[in-house]
Amino acid sequence: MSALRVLHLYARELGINGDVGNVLALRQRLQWRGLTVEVVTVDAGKPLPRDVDLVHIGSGPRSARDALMGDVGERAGQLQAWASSGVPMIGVGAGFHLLSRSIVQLDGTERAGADVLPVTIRDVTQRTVGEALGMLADGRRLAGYLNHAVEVERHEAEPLAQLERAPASVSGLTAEGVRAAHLIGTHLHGPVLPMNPWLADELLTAALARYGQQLPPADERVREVDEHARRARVAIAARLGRWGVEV
Amino acid sequence: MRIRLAVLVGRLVRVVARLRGGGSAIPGNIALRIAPGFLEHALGSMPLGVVFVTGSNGKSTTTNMLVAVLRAHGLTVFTNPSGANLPQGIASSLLATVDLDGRVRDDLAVLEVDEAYGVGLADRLAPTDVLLLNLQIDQLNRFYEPDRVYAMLERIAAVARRRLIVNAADPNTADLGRGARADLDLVSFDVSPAALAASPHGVAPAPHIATRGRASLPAPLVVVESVEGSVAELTVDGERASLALPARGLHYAVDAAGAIATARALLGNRFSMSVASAALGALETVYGRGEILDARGQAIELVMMKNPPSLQLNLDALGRVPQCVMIAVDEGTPDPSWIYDTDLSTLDHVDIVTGTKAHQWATRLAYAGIPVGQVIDDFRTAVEELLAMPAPADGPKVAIVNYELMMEMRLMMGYLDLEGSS
Ligand SMILES: [Zn+2]
Repeated sequence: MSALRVLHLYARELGINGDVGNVLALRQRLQWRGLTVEVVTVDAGKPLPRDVDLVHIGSGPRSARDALMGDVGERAGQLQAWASSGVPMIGVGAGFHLLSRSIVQLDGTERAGADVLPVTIRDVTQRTVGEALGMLADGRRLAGYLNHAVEVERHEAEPLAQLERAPASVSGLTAEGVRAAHLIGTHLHGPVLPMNPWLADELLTAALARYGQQLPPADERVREVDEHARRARVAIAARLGRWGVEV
Repeated sequence: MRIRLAVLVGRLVRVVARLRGGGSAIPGNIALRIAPGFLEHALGSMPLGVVFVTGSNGKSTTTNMLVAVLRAHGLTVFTNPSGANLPQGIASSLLATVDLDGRVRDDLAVLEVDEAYGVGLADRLAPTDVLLLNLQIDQLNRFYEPDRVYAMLERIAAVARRRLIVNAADPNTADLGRGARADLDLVSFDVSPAALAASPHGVAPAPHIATRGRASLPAPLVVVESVEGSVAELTVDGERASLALPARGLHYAVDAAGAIATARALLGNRFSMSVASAALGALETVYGRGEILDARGQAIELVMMKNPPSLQLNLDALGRVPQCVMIAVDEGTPDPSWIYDTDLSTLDHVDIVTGTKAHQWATRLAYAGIPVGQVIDDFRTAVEELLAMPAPADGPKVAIVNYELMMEMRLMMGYLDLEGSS
């Protein structure tokens, strides 16, 4: 491995919530640890590179997502092959939806996604908008901002996190995103990886594991940025009434 | 009868509100409660019509420019003050000007309208002319998706009775122009490829949605050919003109192009470019953008953090790498994720980061490799610290702030209301 190759798919079409920050975080966290990284951006209609080590797709409006469904369908075979060979992937918002098994639109039409994440996305009219705090099975927490109008039906996968504090407008909403081993779908902004850097490091660890390598330990720069992120999460938790919880 | 009462009570409340400082939307709100039809009544019979100016960015600047050009041509114009673009804000500004019968006596009205409230206002006021500036990423916590704003602008444009003026350089407003009713007078303004290429961040449109309607827009009435500092070269109706902008930056030139195209269409043969140039050259900097705050005798240059394109344009407009910088953000910006889309190359360090979301900015800056002096949780303490820093040699100290913290800063410095009088 000469350089770890991060594919930023649909960087031009999707990414209205600062999602490029996820790619920046992945890049910097590798570079600060002395590893070489190459970010490859691929727009709709453009060819994919032969091999990649990590895939990121950002968020965007419903119209942009729907316009990309044909394009992602043509790439489904390649994306599935990468996923089953252990390439970690993260989709945020519309990017999460594109990686799903299928999307059921408001008029009932069901359209196939890339079928990388074992979920069905259902468009709904009610929006979920606001800061959110989630907890993982192992007690770790995720923080960020939600802004979506879908329900997620998980087939044989766990949610990424259980929400312990979520925007008030949504009733009965307790689970956020999906996780199937090294494949992640989420609606969290922040962006999610700079805000929750352990998640970035898990993706990088999975990418390096395919080469039998480990993620080198964090240096001072990583520790410093992570302390800012931690205090950003603490502030979100506090605004949601969870003062002083471990984030 | 109700109109008369609304005017009288509204005026009284306005006087009291002004004495107490602030609360500029309250009198309008009360007038609208007494007479829900106050706006329609006041603006219902303007001889030359009602012009709506809307879009994601540049509404205040463009409205200000258009009003100045029209007044310079001898017209009397009613307008709402910068940012008072909701129904209650417009009603408040009407209270200051209407006769007791509740009617405006000016030749025409030029109204800056909020995209969302503009839909209802368009239905009520049936504007003759609608100027669509742009559709950019803005307030996603409120608008959710640019798709919804597109639909709002489409509905506002659909109500125009006489004319639609669109920015051809923004794919979304260009599309809305192509989709315009065939009976409307369709006017466009544009930016030359050279001027676009020379601007560091272009016109920053939101993701484009669809192409529809008329195959093409009419030839643009005004084209921004180039921008050099705060001087723009335009082609207006086939003739070249040089224009002094209120500040540097392509967006001011685009705003000016929109204002000139609209004025030219409204005035017809009465339009004079030299009159328009003189009017625009005499404008002061618009409130909230590139504004200098007098902080106990010290100048602080305010850079507004409203949405991604405006922050980018305001940073680009600094025209220097500032020596003394504070960044402040709080809950007024519900989701600041978009700061990762901002090119921060005009900053080589930040002295102070503050506000309840300071650590989100600090994280962003760390990933950009921009050193941060200190994070100060308490905003007022941070402002005092900024004021205590030695004066920079390169101009005023710079504060990059969201609207809410700008207002708090103004309050700290003894400014009483939006108009800036202390
Ligand atoms: Zn400094």
